[in-house]
Amino acid sequence: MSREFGKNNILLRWPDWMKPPWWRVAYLIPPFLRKDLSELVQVPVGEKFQNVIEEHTRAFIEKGVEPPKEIAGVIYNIADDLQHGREAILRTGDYIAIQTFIKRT
Amino acid sequence: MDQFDGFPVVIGWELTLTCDLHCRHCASSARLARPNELTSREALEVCYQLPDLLVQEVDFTGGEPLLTYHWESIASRLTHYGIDVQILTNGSSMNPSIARRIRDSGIVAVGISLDGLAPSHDRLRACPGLFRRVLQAVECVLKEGLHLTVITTVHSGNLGELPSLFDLLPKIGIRNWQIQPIFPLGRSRHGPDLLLSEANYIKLGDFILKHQPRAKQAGWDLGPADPCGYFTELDTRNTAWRGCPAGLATCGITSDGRIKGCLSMPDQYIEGDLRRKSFWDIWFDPEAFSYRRRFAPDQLGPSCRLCEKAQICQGGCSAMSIGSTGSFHNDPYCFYGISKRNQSSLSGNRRALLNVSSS
Repeated sequence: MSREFGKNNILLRWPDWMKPPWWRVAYLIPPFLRKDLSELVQVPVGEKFQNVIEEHTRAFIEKGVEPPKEIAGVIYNIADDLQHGREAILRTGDYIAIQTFIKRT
Repeated sequence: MDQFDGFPVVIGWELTLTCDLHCRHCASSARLARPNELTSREALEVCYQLPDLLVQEVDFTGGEPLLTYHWESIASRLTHYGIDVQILTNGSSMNPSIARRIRDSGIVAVGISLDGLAPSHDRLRACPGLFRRVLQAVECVLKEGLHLTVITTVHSGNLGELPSLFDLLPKIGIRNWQIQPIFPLGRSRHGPDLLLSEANYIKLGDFILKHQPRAKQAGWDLGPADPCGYFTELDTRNTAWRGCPAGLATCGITSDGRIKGCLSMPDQYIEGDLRRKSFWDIWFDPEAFSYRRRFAPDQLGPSCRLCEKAQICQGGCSAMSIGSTGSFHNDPYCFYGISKRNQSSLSGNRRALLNVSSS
């Protein structure tokens, strides 16, 4: 692999429909401190999350082992990013798929 | 939406329904605690679930959140997880020591309710001397260097006081003022005299339109909350309204650990119970928040059915719609909708202001 994942952090892109945040909820304090969702967010993730991604991405790249079908799309994308020297950036849908996979296995 | 891919980036957390006040307009009818409010241990377990859900900000509300014994430990835990924590208070129990504890717990911003000048604020909140205490609370919070917002709920009795508040707030150091119309929910339903007429709602929009640039010029900010809009010159929000965020990007946690799209909505719209299911499972349940995630135009109520903006807006603020009409996607408090309904009776100037064609 030409790049490694940052340990315990992933980079995540918010879905387009959430950007820019348009709400100002009544009885909540307005968003003068709010993070700008147009930027990538660094998400601290647990060891399990890291392990799932590393294990299946390595197995796919190095040995051609097909990932579990629930997360196959995510692993293909990550593998493609890594093989082309790009930083792996997850979509929220990818993140949901991995978290759901972890919670169900 | 096929696979829903949104997250509750902003959460309102009602820490308790206990309140030391008994305000006439309280949409939550707060006074006594809910029968089975979360214990500290349970609340901290809820905190543990929030990073996975990519929560960016939690706002403590109530009731009066400062009356709980665990607001500091929850704030510290959330801060430890990198989540911004803010707290909304009625100001009655604020003092220098509490302001210091707020800062030390990691809370980054405070909101204080102020609904008018002394006589009307104290009368509405049934608490003589409260206005004076709120001013003292403002001083305590600012002294600790915390960001502070005043939140004003506008009703028929204080609409005329907005210009006086506009003069007062910068003098006491306020730099952010959120203005929101009263919801016909909770106790305000028992005092219909407080609710805004269409004409008064337009006056509220006029006030914000005229005063927002003046505030900006003077280096501070005032703006409307979500139930105040949409789609005319009177809608002064920075980012165009794209519909109610409840269940899409925001939600609320009740003090007994249940989830709903917005804390302003009645409890019948609970989506799940954190004592029975994980937050993740509630949020991503394919049936959850169906009023927002599976909107279809045929769900629009009479206020919005014929509106050409409805595909974007999807019927306005869900809580206001429910409170006013008993159904979703039918928010009558809408500058655009009001202007269309009253097109013939509007003066030429007002029609121009509301951007309504005369055809």
